[in-house]
Amino acid sequence: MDARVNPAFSDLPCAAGIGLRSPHVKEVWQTRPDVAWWEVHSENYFEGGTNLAVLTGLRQDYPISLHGVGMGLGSLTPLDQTHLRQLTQLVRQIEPAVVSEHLCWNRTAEGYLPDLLPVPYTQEALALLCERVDQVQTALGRPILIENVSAYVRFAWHTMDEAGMLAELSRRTGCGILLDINNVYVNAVNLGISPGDFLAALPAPAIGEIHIAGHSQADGFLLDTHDAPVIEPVWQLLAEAYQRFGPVPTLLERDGNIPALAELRQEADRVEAALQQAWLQQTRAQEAGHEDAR
Amino acid sequence: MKTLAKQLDGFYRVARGGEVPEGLLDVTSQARVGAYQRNHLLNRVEALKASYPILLQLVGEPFFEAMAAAYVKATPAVSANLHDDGADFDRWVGQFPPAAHLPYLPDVARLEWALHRAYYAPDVSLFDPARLAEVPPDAVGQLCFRFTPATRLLTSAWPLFDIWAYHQPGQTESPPVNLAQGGGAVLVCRTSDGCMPQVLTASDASAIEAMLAGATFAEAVDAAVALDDAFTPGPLLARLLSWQALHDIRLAEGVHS
Repeated sequence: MDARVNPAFSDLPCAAGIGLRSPHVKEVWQTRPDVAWWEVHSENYFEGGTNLAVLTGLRQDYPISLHGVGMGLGSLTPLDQTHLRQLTQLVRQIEPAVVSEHLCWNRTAEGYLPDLLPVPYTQEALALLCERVDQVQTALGRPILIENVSAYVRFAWHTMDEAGMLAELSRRTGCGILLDINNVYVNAVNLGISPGDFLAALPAPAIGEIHIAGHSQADGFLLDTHDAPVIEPVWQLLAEAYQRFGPVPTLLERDGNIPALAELRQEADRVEAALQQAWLQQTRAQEAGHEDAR
Repeated sequence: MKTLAKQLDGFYRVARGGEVPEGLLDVTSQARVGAYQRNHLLNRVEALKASYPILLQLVGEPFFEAMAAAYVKATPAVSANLHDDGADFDRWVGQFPPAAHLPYLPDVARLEWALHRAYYAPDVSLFDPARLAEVPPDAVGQLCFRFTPATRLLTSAWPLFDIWAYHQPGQTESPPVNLAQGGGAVLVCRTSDGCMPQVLTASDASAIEAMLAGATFAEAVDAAVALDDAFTPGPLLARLLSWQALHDIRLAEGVHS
């Protein structure tokens, strides 16, 4: 039995999921392809109408992960109560396997920036994030996962790093962690962080889901565009994460240059193969452990 | 810059196009800051394209992108949900000098916003006409009809329905729109088949406008008859039911059945 994925915050099967985006919705609705689970952006299903009806129908056949991109938990302005109410309604209706948000901010008193902006890695920001995650978890009546984000800049004033912040946020609030492997790779290049140190700083029992995606090259840094296939170094880092954390439900994300679903499913098959490998390694390690114990 | 407020306020201004203040960032470059400055703009412009597909077809992609980018730069987003962005785009379009030769654009924008909001409007139960049988005949005039949240009434000097129909995907048979024919009222409704505008006669529009404002059915009929002596309410009710526009009824205050 896999004791590692904490069922308190993730009911996802330990298999490869795919991000469901609008160009594929009709095909998925009509053909119900053999995909272990789907993740959607929560905001696209707020309130009612066709989108919600379709998701409610798909929920009969698949586990669904609700992934929010708009909560901006690290903003100093009060949590948007309308947004929280809409998310709460959606969670009640869909009964998702998991609910996640980002370690980011998106608003000041002057307005919103519809983006996933990295927070300053400070005790002050951490204390605020703990309060906000508590508010969301209380409203939803369940723990959520928080995802590490990609960054192109870093605030000069910081007293910790993102991995340390996530670990502490999880310890204080009981939230889980959504580990985005592509973002770790992008930030290794952009900010010079060590991917190995990043993974080592995370508490294994808190990892509820993994994301992988592609990115693109910009002028002296990497842009987290999700518009290309996953590159080899990111596959390697995924294998490293599995070695450390064991198999974890893993999502393939694609948001730009979206190819045919068949092509995404082929890429998701590679995730499945990596997961199988991780199971095998875990089983062997456990057997070796039993041998040693005798 | 050691307080969170100074850090976030500082970066907000940078992302909205400002210079990077001394001491705010330690890893940075013009290209990196530029990525943030572009990212939220592009996110919003893409969302506007999705919300205003007819405007996009009417003016073409480069023109629309320039018009939307100017709007986004001038107007801070009011929500983190991109589906909420662009509620006042019609006013921007009406004041955008390069679009001054297309006077129908603001009304097309209003129609598209109504359709966009209808698409995401909350689900509510539909009014069951069998309930009318429970109302005593002499109380029907005192009924107030409640509409579904998707339903919106628009009036325009331009033929909004024809413009909408001409720009539907796969549309090949609609004749070119004759702008000189004038406009009228449409009711944006969400049915099981999707969201679309329905053409209204002036008297229907007058009755619906009164009903949306909370008038009784008798008052709404009076408003319609004022425009058309021959108006009868039965066909209007039948149309509203077939458009799935009605949510509920209640008796006007002070009336007991």
